[in-house]
Amino acid sequence: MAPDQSEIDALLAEFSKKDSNELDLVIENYEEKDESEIKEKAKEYKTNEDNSLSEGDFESERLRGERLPPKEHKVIDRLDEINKESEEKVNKLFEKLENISTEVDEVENLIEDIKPFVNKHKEFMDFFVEHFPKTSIKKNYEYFKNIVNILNEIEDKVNSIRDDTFDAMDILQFQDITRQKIERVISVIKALHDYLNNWFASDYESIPRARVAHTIVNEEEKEEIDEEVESIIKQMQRGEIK
Amino acid sequence: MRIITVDDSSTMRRIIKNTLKRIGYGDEIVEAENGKEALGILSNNEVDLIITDWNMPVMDGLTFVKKIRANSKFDDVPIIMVTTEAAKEDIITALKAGVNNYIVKPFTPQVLKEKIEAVMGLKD
Repeated sequence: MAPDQSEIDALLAEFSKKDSNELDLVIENYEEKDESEIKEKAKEYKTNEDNSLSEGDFESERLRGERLPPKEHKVIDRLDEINKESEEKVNKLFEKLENISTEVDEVENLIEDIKPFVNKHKEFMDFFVEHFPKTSIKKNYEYFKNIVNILNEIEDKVNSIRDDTFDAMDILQFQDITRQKIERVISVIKALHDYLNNWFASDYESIPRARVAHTIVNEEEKEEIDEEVESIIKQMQRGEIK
Repeated sequence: MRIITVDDSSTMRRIIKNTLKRIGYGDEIVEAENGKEALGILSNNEVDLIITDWNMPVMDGLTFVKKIRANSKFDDVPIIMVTTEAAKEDIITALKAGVNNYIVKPFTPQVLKEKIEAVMGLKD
């Protein structure tokens, strides 16, 4: 519990009562402390600190004379991890979309299975209602027509879900494009890594890497680029580009 | 149709494989992570079409295409490159190396279908 104001005032009063000679004595004792004792304390502190280092940290410290950032702070390694994690998650997402797609196919198959019976039944009811319009079946006929409409609606929804699922799958290409953008950032950091080796030390060289993408198109440019690609291919085919 | 898709991204391989199935070319699809792995697969297997990325570790797509085109066994096998590279000089480099058609990522199933039809037509 924090002291109240009266306790603080009492402490201040006690301190002010202290003889100034008493304070001088404290200072004097401090100055007279054996220098070797201080050195011993420092050595002890350093040993304790060294013991807390891992072998890798110790080696780095020995070589560079300073503590390196821990592995989780190494920029290139982190970016590689982000790439790997996002690829794993996108693959899981893709798996889910594939499951949805499979289930949609199964629903569609079920609809296809019952549709001939429903249509047959409708034909029968059409005939019956047309020839016996005054029978009570007419009410059931309206109800049945509604079921047929609902079935058609379900079929439309199933197709719409499939289209959306396929669109979502196509959009997942962004992961590879983003990954390559990150790879490009990594290559810039690599240049810094060579220069500021201490800060950006990593296992960069030991990991086989793809050539860094030079051009990654924006969505707005995509149509224009596709046309250009087509044009270049045609020019090549016509032998206009040697 | 037997198709090999070469890409270091497992996501892209999955997308290409799925798209091929959707557009009716999913009979038999083989996957490779890079050009070297693809060359290994192709040494023992025949394919009708190669779909390859450009930027890959170990062996990139351009080197892979050059090695394929240097082997007369694959003279008739069309190659489509699917990549993020969109610079004119890159497209020309790829075509000169022996690529039959070129797709810039991201692509739509329709574009892949058209390009496959185009290269298979060239093959005939």
